[in-house]
Amino acid sequence: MSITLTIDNKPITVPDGGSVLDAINASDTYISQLCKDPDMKAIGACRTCLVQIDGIRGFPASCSTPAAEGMTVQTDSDDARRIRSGVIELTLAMLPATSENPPFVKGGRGDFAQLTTAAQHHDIQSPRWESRPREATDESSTVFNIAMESCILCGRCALACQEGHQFIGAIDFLGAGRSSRIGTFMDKPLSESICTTCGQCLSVCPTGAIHLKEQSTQPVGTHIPQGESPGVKEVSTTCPYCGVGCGIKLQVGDGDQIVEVQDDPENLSSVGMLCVKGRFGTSFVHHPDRLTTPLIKEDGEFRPATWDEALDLIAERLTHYRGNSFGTLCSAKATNEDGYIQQKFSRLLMQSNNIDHCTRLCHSPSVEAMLTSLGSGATSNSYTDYEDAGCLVVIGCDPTSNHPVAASRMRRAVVERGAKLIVINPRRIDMCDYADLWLRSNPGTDVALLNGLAQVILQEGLQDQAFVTNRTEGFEEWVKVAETYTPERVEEITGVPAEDIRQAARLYAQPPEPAIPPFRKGGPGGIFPGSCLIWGMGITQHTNGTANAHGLLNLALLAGQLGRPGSGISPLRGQNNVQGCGDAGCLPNAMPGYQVIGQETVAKFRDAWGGNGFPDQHGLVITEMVESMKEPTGIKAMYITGENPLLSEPDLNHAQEMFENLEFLVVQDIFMHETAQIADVVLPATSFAEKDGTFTNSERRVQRVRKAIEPRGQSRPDWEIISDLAKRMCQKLELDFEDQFDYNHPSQIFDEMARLTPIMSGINYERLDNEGGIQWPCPTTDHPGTPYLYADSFPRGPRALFVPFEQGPVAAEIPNRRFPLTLNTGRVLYHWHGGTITRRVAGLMERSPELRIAINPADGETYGIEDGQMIRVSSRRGQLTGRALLTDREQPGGIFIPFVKLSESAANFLTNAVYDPTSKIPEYKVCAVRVEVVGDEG
Amino acid sequence: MTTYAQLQQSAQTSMAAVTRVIVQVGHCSQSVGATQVAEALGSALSGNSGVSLIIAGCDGACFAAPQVLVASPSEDVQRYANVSLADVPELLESLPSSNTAQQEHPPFVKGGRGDLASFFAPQTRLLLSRCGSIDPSSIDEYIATGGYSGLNTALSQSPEDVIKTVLDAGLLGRGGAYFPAARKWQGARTANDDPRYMVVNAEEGEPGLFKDRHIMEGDPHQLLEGALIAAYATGASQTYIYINAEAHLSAQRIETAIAQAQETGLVGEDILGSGFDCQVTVRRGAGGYVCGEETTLLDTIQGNRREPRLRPPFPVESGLFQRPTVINNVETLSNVPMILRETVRPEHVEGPAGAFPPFVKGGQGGFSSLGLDSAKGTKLICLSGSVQRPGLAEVPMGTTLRYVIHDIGGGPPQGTDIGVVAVGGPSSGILPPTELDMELRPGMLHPSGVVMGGGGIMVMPEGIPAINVVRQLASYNAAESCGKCTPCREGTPRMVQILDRIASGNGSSTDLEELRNLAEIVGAASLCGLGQMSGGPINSALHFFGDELEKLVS
Repeated sequence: MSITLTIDNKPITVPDGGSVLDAINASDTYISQLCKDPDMKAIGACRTCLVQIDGIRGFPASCSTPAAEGMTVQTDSDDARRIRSGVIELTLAMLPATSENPPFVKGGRGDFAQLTTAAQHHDIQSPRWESRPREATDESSTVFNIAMESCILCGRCALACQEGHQFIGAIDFLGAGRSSRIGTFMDKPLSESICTTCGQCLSVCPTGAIHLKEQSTQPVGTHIPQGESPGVKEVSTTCPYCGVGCGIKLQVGDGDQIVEVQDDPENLSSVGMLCVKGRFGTSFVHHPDRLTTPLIKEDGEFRPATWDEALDLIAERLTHYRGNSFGTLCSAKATNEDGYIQQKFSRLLMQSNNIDHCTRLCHSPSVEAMLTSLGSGATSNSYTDYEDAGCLVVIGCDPTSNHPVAASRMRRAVVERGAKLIVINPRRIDMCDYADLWLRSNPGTDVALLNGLAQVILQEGLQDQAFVTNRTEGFEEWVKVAETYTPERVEEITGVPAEDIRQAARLYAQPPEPAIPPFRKGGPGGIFPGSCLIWGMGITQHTNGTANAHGLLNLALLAGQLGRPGSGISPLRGQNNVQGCGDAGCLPNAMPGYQVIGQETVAKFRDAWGGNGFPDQHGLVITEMVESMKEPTGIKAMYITGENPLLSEPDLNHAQEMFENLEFLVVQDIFMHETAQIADVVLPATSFAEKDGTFTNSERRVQRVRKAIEPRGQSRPDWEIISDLAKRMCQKLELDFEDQFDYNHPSQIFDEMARLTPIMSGINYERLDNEGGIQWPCPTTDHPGTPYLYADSFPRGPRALFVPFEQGPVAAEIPNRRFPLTLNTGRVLYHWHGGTITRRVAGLMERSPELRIAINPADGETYGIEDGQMIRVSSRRGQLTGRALLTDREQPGGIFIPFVKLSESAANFLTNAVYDPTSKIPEYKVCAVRVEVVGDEG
Repeated sequence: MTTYAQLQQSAQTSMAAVTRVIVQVGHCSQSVGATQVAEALGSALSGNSGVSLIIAGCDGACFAAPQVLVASPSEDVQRYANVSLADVPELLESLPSSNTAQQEHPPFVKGGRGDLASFFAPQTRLLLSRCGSIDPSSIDEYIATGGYSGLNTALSQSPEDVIKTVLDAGLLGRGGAYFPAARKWQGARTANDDPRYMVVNAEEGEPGLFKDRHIMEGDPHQLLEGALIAAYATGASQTYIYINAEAHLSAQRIETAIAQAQETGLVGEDILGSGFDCQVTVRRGAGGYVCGEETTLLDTIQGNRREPRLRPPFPVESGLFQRPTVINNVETLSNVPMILRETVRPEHVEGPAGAFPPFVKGGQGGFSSLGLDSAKGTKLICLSGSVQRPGLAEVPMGTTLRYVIHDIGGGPPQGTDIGVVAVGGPSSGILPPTELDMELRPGMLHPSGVVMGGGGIMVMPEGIPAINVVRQLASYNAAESCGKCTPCREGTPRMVQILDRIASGNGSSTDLEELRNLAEIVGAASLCGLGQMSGGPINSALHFFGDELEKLVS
């Protein structure tokens, strides 16, 4: 549906719901518009887009006047010009005066483009009013300043921080009337507020009042006024950080440098949002520490080498390790195409299924459980389902820190839609601020808690009986276990009050309709009192990780909260392409597209790839590979891309010992790191910004990665390096597979993968370029992709499976007299995983320069620790030092350390290398430690 | 379930034949000692079964506050004006003893700066008929004087019929915009999106306005009844009464009224067995003139910053919590019960003792026979400043300024003359004494921007320079600007700046032109009524007091 109206006698058609301003902009008629952001709702504050409309009294603001059929609009009548001109003159007088011609303002940032244009259009020749005094600049953020002297109080920043985008609410207007200003709660400096430095405010500021600090501009960072291009080129690509999969637009300036990152309102996953890492965290690409040349270790020292030298050496050495003594670790930070080539290389040339990636350390229990119960190991729904849900259950994850943009969409669900939010976490995470219920369970007791929720649903008859009857099996056996977990019994185990368990169960099974009409309707009918289960490492990184994940799936099956809009199961993926890495076949037990290795699958790929050497037995997972290194028949040679196991493995001292048994190690990465240090050959790979490809995000959306700048130094894309190596090995081994690695462009790799992978058969680069990201399954080129799974059936068949689990021991290691505290590990907003990348981004380091060890104030008192003191934390395996942060976010008896490595301290020196028996994930989330003061250095 | 007839029956008994000593304790009379007088009388009369002490609201005769009324079953009502604590013993003396009902007693001679009869006689009191005479904390007294019969009537009709009745009666909104009240009900009703909300605008933040507080303090059930009828017509299951943050007594009496109505089955579920459910909740104002702007009001109920919303969407489509919402002013809703009632006073009900002047026959005829063809009924006028009898008056729509100021207010105090009359508060304009024949009615009273607004009239004596009055009004607007839109935020302080310059003798002739220009821009470009109407004081001053201002800048 569309509307046709007349703008200055010119007929213009806009879509239904468009405003008069939309029509004016579509007509290419200029009109000033200082407060209207193209991607946010009208604010109506600047009053510079006033027009005259036949039949409407006065001068309506075009931004907030809906276009109507047949409307006649005059934009530039003398009267309208005079009124707008008067308003613009009042606006100019808010800014410091200068003698320059319009806009008569100074500020030195040259960012007043819109105001200047507006003044010039209205022939404003000289200032009408003297400037008025303004408030001081807030310089407390490490990344940007808020300079009130350049602010015209348009309100875009406050809207962006709130319901316009992020739902954070760190900044808003303070004061009233002429003393209105932008500020924080209680008028504190920005750095002491809840600001997450996402920079959404900066991105919408039309005057540069919010601007990047000078010291943060190396090298990402002159602020480009909104709607303007920096000159050289803009490249749309996908953020290289977490699994949310935000769209970013790299602004490339002179000297092939990324000068700024802008958000992408067209991106279907991030809808115009970014977090601090996405917006301000890509300068690592230009960091001088980048590996720029192959390195070969000789006599314990690395020396630069040519590509020929390095690759020939590797090709020669690897010929001796074909078969089970070879293992490879693929990168969830690299592209689908990179991963596909690496597993193909391993299988076809190295004849080894010892292929794994970091999913083993994050969501392998989720994947195992989902494969068993449902037959597919992916998130079932989309971020839009959160916004259509009646209830969100956020369990064992801290999305505000780890998936900030997904967290914004959860907040939108709660704040704008009135969805209920249940947080289940031993820590008081930020999301608790928005929660209707917070269940503070004891670490390791989730099996009991989830069984308890199910017991209440059964007891109160809240289950979706039709779903259970028609679409599940194993119900009877499971009920026998679940029904014994009465809320009172569960309270004893978990510490969660029985009444809270009851309430949570009711809200999850049958949530009330959201109070507020939907922001975006998710399907027919609009409002779905569905519930979403959203979880992270707090569920999985336990010795009972798979049992936990089954507990969640059982709950979803019982309540029928699967397979319709507004419901579903969301294991939030940690890395930008951890979904894609698995999709591409970087797994020891599955070929691309989760085609489980067996006779049939292997035959299919042998047909496609040729050759007959590659194994049809499942390979080793990474944790098994590490343990096998000490065995004579174990892994002897490894090829690792974009991973740093000597920071990410549990019990790092032990891991280091194991790796030292390797006879040959190749590491391919963008920076030198702990694992690369002990390699025989180190190869320089390109970053995300220097190559083409695809990433697949947490909601199964395949999105394009586009080359923005030339590779740094001699670095090359992973797929290209491995293809080159493969061809050299083919020659050495006199194998006939050279054409299997003969690619000119990653799109050819993708096409091959799609051809062999039913879930992605319908996706190609042309579609991704035209339509944006596409969610698999997408079996045919005319298939639109699949926003949510399991509408009618499950990959394992018509019925999903209930899998009963009893609560086992809460953890392999529990506190005792010597190690009285329970250590939990995780992440912080300002760092990425181990920190190899984010330690090289100045703005992030300044915001989070050192390791903060969070403990409850009561424990602080017990152990004589004051806030800010340096403390030592020891486990049976190792120790680290960091600065104490006394906070009631932690339970008494709990202690939290992010696993980022700062000042040589990393949490994984402490963690316990014990594994979930099914998925082999290490128990990062629980181990016993003790703390002591090492003296105050601060 | 209780029927209305049963309620009425039980209410009759409560206004027993005893002598009623009525102390008018209102927001303002508290500041001249009404509470202390009431306490003293209360302790003196405790245990006296023949006399009951009633704490009423004020009847609007501000110049006579605090007032005490003594109404015995057999005698005319005695009114005592400006009673102080020192007068209490003498007042007690004059009370008829409960044992000797016919005993002669001397009339109370004290007090009274003005002439009460001259204040009341020229008025037509419909809305205020109970104010100051009944106990606002007694639902029985309200019911006994015909209260809630309008609601009872409404509930026996369809909501559409109720809307039609009120539309036909011609009830316009009394908040200042004079939009047909039932048109809003109709709009929200047809929006057909449950739940819908009814919001009573009792913010009354404008300087010089005190009418809504009088109603809430003196006759809270009348408002509640009107709100319930409106909620029924609208289909709203929740009503919010948004009361000014400083109007504590109003809030207290309204809360009491709600609690009583709840207990009686007039608020809550299945009201009077009709199947109509409505909860009523008090919300307190967030502080500031702009909170009376209806969309600002809604946002503050939702806990947001006090700023106006963009329109469209209008509240009837998307108001409180984005649901269809009707917002009516206190005075508007207080008119509704009488429109629904066939007569104000069913035959068998006695009017409250002390109602003054005695009840006017009401009902549709009563309301609609008064006022102008274009604007029916009466209007409450808040008369303050330099007059002999300032207070709250009720007159038919279309009454002249002169009638209000001279006939009711007694004109300026002896030996003074009127200099400037500010009508309608800071969002309106000022007039010279030559314009007193202007009729008070909706719409522009003068094209320079003078409107009746909420009905505030402030009289300034001769000798006060017009610029001072304008400056005061402009400063108020600048101080109350919420800061959201540029023209109001930036423009209103610039007006004050120029007025200051002129007032201090440093103005130039271009300053007047600049003022006119600013008034036009701020008026035309501002987002809400506050800025849009902020040019009124300036434009009207330039029109009526142009010579005086010219002199200042020459």
